[in-house]
Amino acid sequence: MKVIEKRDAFLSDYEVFQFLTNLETSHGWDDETQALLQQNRRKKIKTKKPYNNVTLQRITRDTISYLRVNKSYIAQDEDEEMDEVTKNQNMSSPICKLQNDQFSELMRDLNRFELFKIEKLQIVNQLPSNMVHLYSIVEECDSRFNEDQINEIISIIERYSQSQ
Amino acid sequence: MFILSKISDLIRIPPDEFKRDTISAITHQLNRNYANKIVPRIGLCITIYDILEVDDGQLKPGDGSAYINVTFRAMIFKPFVGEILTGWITKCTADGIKVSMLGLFDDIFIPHKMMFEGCRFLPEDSAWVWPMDEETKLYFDVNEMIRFRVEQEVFVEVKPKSPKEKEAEEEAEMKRQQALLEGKEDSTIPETTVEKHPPYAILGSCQTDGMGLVSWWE
Repeated sequence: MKVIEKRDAFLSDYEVFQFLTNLETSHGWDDETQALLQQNRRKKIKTKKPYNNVTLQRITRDTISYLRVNKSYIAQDEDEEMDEVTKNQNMSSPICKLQNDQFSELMRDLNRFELFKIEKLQIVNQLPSNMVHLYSIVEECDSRFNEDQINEIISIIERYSQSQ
Repeated sequence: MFILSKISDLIRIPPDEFKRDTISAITHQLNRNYANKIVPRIGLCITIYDILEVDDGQLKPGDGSAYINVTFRAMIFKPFVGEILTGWITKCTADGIKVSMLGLFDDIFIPHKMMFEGCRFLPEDSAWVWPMDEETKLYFDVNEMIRFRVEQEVFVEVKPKSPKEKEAEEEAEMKRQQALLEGKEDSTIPETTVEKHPPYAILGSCQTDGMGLVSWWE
């Protein structure tokens, strides 16, 4: 094995999520195909077997489930009264709701600010919803941006993370 | 959090794979070799992203397989130093906090000297506590969502298990099962598997605003 280029490119969580879900569907590892297979097995209908590679299947599933969790949402006691649908919506990360064109629009909006590439990458990965989180990602945020700009960044992120 | 690395490797395609087309046979072999494995000094390989170059296959005397030089890009989990990540606390010890990223990656450790100033370990609760001011005490509890900064990557060359180690492991497993059969639930046989250094570990820190449990900063 020879490593030609250690870091050929960075990938955002969104791209990884898209790639892995496509991989899962194309190999027939997603829930729908699995359920169909079970049904067919019971009815003894012969179907094409999904691609068999246990380690790849497991790591794909685990990575997707990690990316799917909303990392800035904390379950609260009063949430128990909420119905299942809204609960699930709150629990799942905005990353899995975004569309390709929305994602590039978000990128374009962020390009208006003088952020470093690595900071933009972290912003689109984590979609910070409050100032403290944004400050921890963007170095010396308070000297580089004024309050209005910071509020604007947060509101942009909020717009995309809440759109369906 | 994820990167693409360009790697070239010589892979062996066994004859029973010849019925597939070249690309899928190669991807299959590469995924078997790389998926969920640590690539030394890079990170944890998730899957093969794409294949860039495929050389002509070679044959070796006495083997029916084809040997092919391929250049490909792998999707690798490798957070950079300074990146902010979110995980879940799995264990608190006197040395620090163990954090896991839900099956994706487990070997993350936050040593006590990289936590907020004044953090103390409470052995009776087996939790770390951060006295933020006189009145408020914040607890690092197990299973809470925690945000931390990546400080260092640790790579250790791991040797394959020697036959002796394997034997010892199997023996211990046998003993444990026997104890279970005899109904001794709280058997005193210790787990012999010595905790080995993971091949790839991440050291994190919790020292600035915004770090620590996610719920503190909401």
